[in-house]
Amino acid sequence: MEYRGDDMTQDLRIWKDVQRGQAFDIEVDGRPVAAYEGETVAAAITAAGIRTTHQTVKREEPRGFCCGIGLCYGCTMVIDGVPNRRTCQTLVKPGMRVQTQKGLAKWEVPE
Amino acid sequence: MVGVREAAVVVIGGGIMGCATAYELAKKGQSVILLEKGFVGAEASGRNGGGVRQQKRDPAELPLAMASVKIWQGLRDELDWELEYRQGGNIHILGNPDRYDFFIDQLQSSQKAGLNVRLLSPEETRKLLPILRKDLDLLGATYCPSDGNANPLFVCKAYAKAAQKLGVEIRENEPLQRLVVKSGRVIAAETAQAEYRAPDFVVAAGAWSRPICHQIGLDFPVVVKRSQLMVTEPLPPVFSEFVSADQCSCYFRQALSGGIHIGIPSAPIEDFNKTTSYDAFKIAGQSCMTLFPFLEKVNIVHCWAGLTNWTPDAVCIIDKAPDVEGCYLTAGHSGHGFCMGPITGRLLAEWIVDGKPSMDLSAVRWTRFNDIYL
Amino acid sequence: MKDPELIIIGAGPAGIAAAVEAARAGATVKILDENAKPGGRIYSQLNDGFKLVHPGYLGPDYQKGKALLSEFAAVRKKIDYRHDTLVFGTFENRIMAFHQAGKGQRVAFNKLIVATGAYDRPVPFPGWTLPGVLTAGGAQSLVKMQRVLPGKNLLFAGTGPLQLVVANQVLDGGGTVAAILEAGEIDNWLKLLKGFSRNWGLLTDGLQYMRAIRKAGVPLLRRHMILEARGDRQVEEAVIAEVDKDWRAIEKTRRILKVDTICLGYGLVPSVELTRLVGCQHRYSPGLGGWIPARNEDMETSVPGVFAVGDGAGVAGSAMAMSEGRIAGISIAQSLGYISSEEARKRKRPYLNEMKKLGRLRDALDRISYPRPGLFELANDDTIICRCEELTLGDIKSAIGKGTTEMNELKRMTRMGMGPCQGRMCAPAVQEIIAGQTQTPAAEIAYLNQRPPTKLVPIDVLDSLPGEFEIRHGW
Repeated sequence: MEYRGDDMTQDLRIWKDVQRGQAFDIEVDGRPVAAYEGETVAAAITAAGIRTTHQTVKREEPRGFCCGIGLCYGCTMVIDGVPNRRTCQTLVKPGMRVQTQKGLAKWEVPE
Repeated sequence: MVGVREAAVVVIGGGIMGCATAYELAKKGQSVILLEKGFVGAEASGRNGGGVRQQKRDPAELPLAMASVKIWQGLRDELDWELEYRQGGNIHILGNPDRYDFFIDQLQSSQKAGLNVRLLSPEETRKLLPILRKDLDLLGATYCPSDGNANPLFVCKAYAKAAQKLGVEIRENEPLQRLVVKSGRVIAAETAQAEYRAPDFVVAAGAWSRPICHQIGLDFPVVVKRSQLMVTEPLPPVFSEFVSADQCSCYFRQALSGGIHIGIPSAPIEDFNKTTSYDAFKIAGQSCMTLFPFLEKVNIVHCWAGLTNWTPDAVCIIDKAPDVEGCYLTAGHSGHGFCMGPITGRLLAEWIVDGKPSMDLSAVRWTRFNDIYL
Repeated sequence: MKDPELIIIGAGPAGIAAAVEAARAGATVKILDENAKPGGRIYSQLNDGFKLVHPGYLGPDYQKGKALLSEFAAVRKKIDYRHDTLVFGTFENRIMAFHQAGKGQRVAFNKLIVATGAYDRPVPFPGWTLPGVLTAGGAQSLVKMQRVLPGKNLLFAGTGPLQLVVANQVLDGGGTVAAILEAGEIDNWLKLLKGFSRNWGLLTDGLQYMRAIRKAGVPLLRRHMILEARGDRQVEEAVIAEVDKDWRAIEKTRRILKVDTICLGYGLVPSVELTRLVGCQHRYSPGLGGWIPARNEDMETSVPGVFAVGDGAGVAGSAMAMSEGRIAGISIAQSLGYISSEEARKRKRPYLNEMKKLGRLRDALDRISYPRPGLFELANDDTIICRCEELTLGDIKSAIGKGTTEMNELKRMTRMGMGPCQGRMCAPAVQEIIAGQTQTPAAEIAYLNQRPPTKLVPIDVLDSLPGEFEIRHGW
């Protein structure tokens, strides 16, 4: 059910008028995705053409980024094992693990 | 005020007590008018933690709670409404040596009364609730598997709809202005819309019962307390029990929709306000981290509060009014009335129609307070 | 530590302007903002990591923002400014709870300014939950702050000049815009802006945007709306049509545009959670975005000492927001005794004049862009209304049909509004739905009860709040 942009090599980033900082990869559903310091997870995945962030509980429908200001909860994914994280409010970090969330995801119980 | 209406019984209050009573009366063929100041289930009956509990009750209430659970088991089918009632068990984790004997005594007397409650060892407790904090000091737990929980949002509406099907008139947004007493008998209930006359009246108005009774010269000792709740974002099913513990102030229940409901202990409130207090947040956070540290990153989504009536002995009142004819009262449920709704409705209907309830209600009589109150 | 004399929630143009005026006069000011940097939405600054090489793409707002942010920088030392800080509740005795860096905190407020801004109006229509449907604000946050295009072929649908700004930023960034749909008559608000051109720079900006859009060959379709978003797992096409003056589709003009991204810009809804929580009186004003707090000429609400300014008190744009902020800051400085009433009058005068002019323009713009009935009639029975709980219009109508016409009761019966968005995305639409179904004016539909937390807050933060409470039981 993971959706990918039809061309993973394409990049929707705008390079005009800004310089980006450190580049690194984050992991999205097990695959490396390019990210830059200061980007939100939502921006990084959007740039890679990834649009589905989660699948709803009842109707199992795909959802995605919508309001961009952390209010609509359309952009939520599992980040580093924590479900329901708003990707538009979370900055990328090297080694971050992001997963498309399917319905209610399990919360990891610490040992 | 426009006109006069008549019925066999007028019920004041559309919470679980009032709605269950109206329904049970209608089942016995009585014409009933129910007056509710807001919408059915708007107050405590629709705001509580959802626990349907037999264990940890005063012996005065235990037989009633057990009889009520028998009704709960068939309620979904009887009312033809999904109530999300599950007998997932109720567990109270023991951790306070000073209270241990009290809980053991209570457990043993409950067992004698026929309740299937038992004592769990610390190991058994952890096996039942693997999500418990690993380093929590515990002495064990009292556990009753036939206890459970339901969704309070639906029960009153379910009872009301079933009652309406049997001819009960449910009048919402119609607050009671006053009861009228003549020659020592309640003869009417007045609202802005009409005067409602009946041979019998049932006051089942929760935190508002006492002012209603005052106004006709009756009283009973209760303190109004605010009970607060919060709910988390939805999680996959983690536990089915209704959980409380000596080690923290709150109780916990996971709803079928996934959110974990956290109940904050009641505290007296002067002005009937249902706002959420600052303390509630701290107490909820602290309780969660004490018992279930895996909740640390889980978000609280909503809070709300309800008003409950607490008697001096935390036991309810189900009784005919003393000194005034034609008036019945069910009140003072002290924060644990939800379970008692079905049986209370049935017993009051029996009392009114058949002349006496089928269970002994002397332990929950109104006049028991005369000795301590006067 | 002594409590601050003035707490400001929100460091957008309104909040900053208020902070500057109050701090200059000598008051102790604490400003709490949930973002990493001040500026709010319109003067949002790039995150660390990015470096601005040329501000051109940020438009004229950049210079205005820079000027305001320099004023803020000049008084920074006098202000307790907390970024990445979220206020989540107000309580009895004027206590406020907030958290920063995972730590819960509490503070007492004396004077309070709520400057929490607004958010894009949610407009339910068939397919609006598909990945690829975003708000104009969401598109702007991606393009402006993150320098990422939201998609390859965009459709803008909305009303008013704001979506032109975003469309321009997309084009400037090398993106493709298939069309821009304006529900109303563009000529009307252009004519309007001309009338105020002497004091309103937006006209020049507006004309610039239109020119760029025309130059790029982007069709700007007036009296057009989107009716449906279609696609298998994401947006693949949009159904659009011409609409009448009530924004209702003229069926025979329906056609399909092949797009992969839809940006909705139907105005903003003020974020009034905190003003409602603290007990202010509100009135319903569709032209200003919805429920707004009642205020006097000093921006004070019905709760003494609580002020509301900016888009969060009625959507009117950044220029108005700044003036309102200044008025509130000056009024508070005076009430705290830092400046005389005459000095306050003097300081307020230029902003009051500005507000008068802006007010006239705003009223006029409202008449053009306020939502028409057709906006609330796009959904059909299968359209999701409550996104969090996945409730359709049919579900809501069914509950209303069973006699549940009160919003709080509807919430209990259907779970509408119980999700993490706390009703932000559904309640404005549900209000209109109940109004339509019960033939009651929307203003008379009581809104969802407001309780804390005003935004979601994690349990470990709550545990870290100050205060010690003994364990007790009793339920």
